[in-house]
Amino acid sequence: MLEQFLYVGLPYAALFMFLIGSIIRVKNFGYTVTSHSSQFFETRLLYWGSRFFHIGIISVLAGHLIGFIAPSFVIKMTTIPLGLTIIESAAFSFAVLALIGITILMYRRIVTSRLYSVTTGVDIFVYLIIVIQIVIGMLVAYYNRWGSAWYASSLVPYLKSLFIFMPDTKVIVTMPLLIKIHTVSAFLFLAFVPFSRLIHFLVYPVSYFFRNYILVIWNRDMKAMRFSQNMREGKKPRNN
Amino acid sequence: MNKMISKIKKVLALSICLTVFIGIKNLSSQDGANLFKTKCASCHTVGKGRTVGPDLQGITEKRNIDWLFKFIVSSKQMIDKGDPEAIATFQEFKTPMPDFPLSQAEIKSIIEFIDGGGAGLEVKVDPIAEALQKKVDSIITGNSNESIKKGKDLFNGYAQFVNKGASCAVCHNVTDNNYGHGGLLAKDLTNAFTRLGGHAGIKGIILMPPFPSMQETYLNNPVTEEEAAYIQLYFQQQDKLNTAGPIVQKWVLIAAGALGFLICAIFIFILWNKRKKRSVNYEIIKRQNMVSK
Repeated sequence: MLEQFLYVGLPYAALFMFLIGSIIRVKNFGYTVTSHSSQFFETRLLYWGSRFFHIGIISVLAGHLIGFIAPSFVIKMTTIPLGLTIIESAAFSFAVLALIGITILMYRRIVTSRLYSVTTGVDIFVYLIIVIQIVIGMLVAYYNRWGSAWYASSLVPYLKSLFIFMPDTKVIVTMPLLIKIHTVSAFLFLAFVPFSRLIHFLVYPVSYFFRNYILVIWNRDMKAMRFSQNMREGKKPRNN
Repeated sequence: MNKMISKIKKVLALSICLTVFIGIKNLSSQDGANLFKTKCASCHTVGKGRTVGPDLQGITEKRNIDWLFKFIVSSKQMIDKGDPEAIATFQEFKTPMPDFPLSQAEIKSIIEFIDGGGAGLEVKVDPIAEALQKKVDSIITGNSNESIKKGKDLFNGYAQFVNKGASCAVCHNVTDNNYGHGGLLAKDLTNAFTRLGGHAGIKGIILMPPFPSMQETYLNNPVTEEEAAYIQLYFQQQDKLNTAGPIVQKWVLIAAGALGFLICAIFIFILWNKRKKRSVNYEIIKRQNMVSK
């Protein structure tokens, strides 16, 4: 009964919440679909944390997605020992990158008082669920290794069975506990997307890669201004 | 109009009845021998001794019919529930029996076939199957280095299976030359040859996997009998060479992760180092602070 709830009921509830919740939020609260950027409060730690985390997590998620969409391709690649070594090493490196990134971001939130004061309970939950998911994923990769291969051959059929509305839990129920936790928390993560700033991954600014550079022309001598002790060319301001 | 609807209803009802009847008839006339050949023969015999599982001759006298029905459908469930007879069977043969979601009629026909002494099991000899069996037997008895090498290559993925299935090493580890880099999802197979009852046990598991994950992996691309024979020989060799137990190298992934992280970090540094790291107004605030001091 519990297994049916965790591996059939929960996934459907999560997918429903993700799909309907996201549509409602984008349609009715479009302006809240944002990452709640805190770049104005702190940027030095954000520079490293955000880059590490986003490059890591996007690569890891893309790996999961490729395994789901083209399992036979992944099986073919991972059957060759060299392919398996490259894929597993790359996936684990990206997981390390994401974990170090999120650690920097959490540290930044704690030590920067301006940021700490605007941090909400939802933010803390978002950090927690991401950290748990990454750590458990890495433990799975370590203790039940060559996950890229068995994920495509054993676990993808279960996920596909959910999407064709013929849930088949016979494989997932026999999997080790870490894999079960990773799967269940992935569905919880999905369910939580519409209620948090996680929703910003749905509006990824893909056009940024293709847009032209924005040319900024200063009508002043910026270099002179930057090093000027007078702050302005010409006269000294009186409002300071 | 109403008459027409009632006629359609009658036709529908009749066709449903017919479908159900035909279905029942088909089920009740299931060929027990065929089912036994496809589902049971790789691990059991009727009167020819034990192989992977027990010899099933006289099984209905030893076990209760209800118990047999339940055990065939899901032996795992019975073991999980703590059925003493199911646990004793598992402990004796060391290999779990796969679940068979067969209908009651199908199970009944198999049991009737076993009760009949397995008559007709070897009546039709397929020449292709016979030739294959001879080839497999010669591989096993030959036990050549070439065959062992083929088994090693198939297990580790250096050679691909004919039906393009995943290599065994993605889930299993076998210690080879004091090195073990196989998968850790499923059991270590270094000493599987002894543990699973030699050639027959391993062959049974490879050709008819009792584990759901393995069933799913090889559902559409099964391992052939010939390939299974090569792998059996590889297991036999490694079992003899590694009596002290398995060796698994776990540091590989950690080292690869650390190295990969460093490469990514250097890439990020090179790509974005010149990017503005502070807020746009940082210099302005700094200057203002300087002035106020």
